[in-house]
Amino acid sequence: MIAALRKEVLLQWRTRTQFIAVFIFGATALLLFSFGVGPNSEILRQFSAGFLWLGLLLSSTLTLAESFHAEMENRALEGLLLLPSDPRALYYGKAVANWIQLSLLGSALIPVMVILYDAGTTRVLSLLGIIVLGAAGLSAPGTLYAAMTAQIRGKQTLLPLLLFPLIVPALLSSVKATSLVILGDPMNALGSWLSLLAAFDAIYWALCGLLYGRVIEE
Amino acid sequence: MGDQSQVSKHAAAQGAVAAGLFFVGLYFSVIAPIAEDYGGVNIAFGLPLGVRASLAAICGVAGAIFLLIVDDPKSRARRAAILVGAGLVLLLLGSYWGLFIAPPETYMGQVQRIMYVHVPTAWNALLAITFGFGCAIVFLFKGDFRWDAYMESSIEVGTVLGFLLCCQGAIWAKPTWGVWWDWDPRLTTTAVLIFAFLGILALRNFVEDPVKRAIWSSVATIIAYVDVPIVFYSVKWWNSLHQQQSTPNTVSSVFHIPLRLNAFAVLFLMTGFIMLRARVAALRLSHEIAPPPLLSAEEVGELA
Amino acid sequence: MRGVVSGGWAYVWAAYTVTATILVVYGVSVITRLRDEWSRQAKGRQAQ
Repeated sequence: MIAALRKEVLLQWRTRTQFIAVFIFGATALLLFSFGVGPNSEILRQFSAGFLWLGLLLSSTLTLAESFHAEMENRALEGLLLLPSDPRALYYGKAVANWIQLSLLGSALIPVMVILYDAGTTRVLSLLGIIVLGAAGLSAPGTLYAAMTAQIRGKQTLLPLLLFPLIVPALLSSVKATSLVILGDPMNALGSWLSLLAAFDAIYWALCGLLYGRVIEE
Repeated sequence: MGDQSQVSKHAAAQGAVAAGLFFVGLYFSVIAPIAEDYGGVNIAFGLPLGVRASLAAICGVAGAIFLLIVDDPKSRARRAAILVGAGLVLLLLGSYWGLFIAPPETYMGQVQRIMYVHVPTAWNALLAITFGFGCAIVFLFKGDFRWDAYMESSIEVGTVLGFLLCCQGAIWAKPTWGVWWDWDPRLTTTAVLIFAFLGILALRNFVEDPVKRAIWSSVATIIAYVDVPIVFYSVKWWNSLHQQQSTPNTVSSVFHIPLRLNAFAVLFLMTGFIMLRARVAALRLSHEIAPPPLLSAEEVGELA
Repeated sequence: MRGVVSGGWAYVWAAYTVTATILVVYGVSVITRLRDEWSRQAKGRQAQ
């Protein structure tokens, strides 16, 4: 698995211009959301967590779809399957790489959110923790679905179509937790939302790893 | 010839088992209460109410699932036609009862009558989706395409029932809560569920290889089904933080008869539809696998 | 306690109509698709 992860991270490092392009896409989305509300800084601040996560969600479909691009070219996935390695190792390598990339992307979008929506907070560490947990929720099923949709026509439409309804609980709890960090948490509900998010992550990291072998078999 | 009669005997036995289960279900949920309310006789063998209700529900569900499991998607559609016919008759009966015989409820008034179609739809939508989930698991272990056909059809029927459920729910919410859509956890979960399964049905349309299509949609079905309780609890939590919504959960005994009639009606319709739809899926698959038909003489002439 | 919901027959009729419409439309669509497949299969047999 470590080898698979090394390969993925190396590949992502080589295509870092792609990462920058996705980041710019996410930042543009954040900018556009504010036009949907209007120049009302109070409302923008209230919705900032939701906008951040929607921006990250939209950008994640680009990242995830791209993560199988290299395998589909030159039919490299079949070559990997011939290696005496567990498909689970392939899955977790790819999913962890996507997780890292989405976490970085989310962290990079935070300053954009702070500037555009005036949504600053001093609890940077908890904010980063939520980003990492939420990115884990996106990348586990996202990697599995990307493995399917990368192999067929119409992949640009199908990946979000399959992924978006599924990650509703992860999105909900991430948004809620983020806005509790930014706007204050009078009822002390942050912990329960984080445990919901962690439970979602645990279930899907286990389940998708279990099922991945069936998805890529020939 | 001996084989033939063996098969038909087998089919008759299966039909009898299902009919028996449905009869027990209808007996305890509809016939016994009617006899008690209108004739004053107790024919329920002294069973407590809770036991009768659970017995009826278990028998109905077991009969439907038994019929679906023993059904052969390549056989004729006689049983499915009988089920759809019986479902339509029961639905007319139950709806008539719910609309004209049952009294208006104390607090909900006439609007309560929507529940007689809403609740049965909900139960059966859940049942159809659950059966699809079961088919997905069995397919992944056994690899028999029969289960793929049943998965596709039960997901489609479940999605249609889910859509119907959202429409009824919105119509019920308007006079009750004043808005069409209230982010009630059940309604919202149903909406999310519809989109998740529509995505899976779309995936099936996009994949040309039948083996990949079956495996992938089984995997996606399992993943989406596991999501249902998580969505439900997260939405419940999310919504409960800013408002409390009460829904009348207790339905008293006068309201049971139309509700249960319609529950069996929708159960029969759902089972029949799944059987018919599975035949479509099985035929399409055999058409896909079969070699292309030979060109006829005229077609060869056109090509030349 | 909240007030009693009075009236509402229009909503009741709407709900029952929607139910009947969706069930009938779906049933008809399934039967049409099945008949199409049956006739296609019959054609395939004739060709052989």
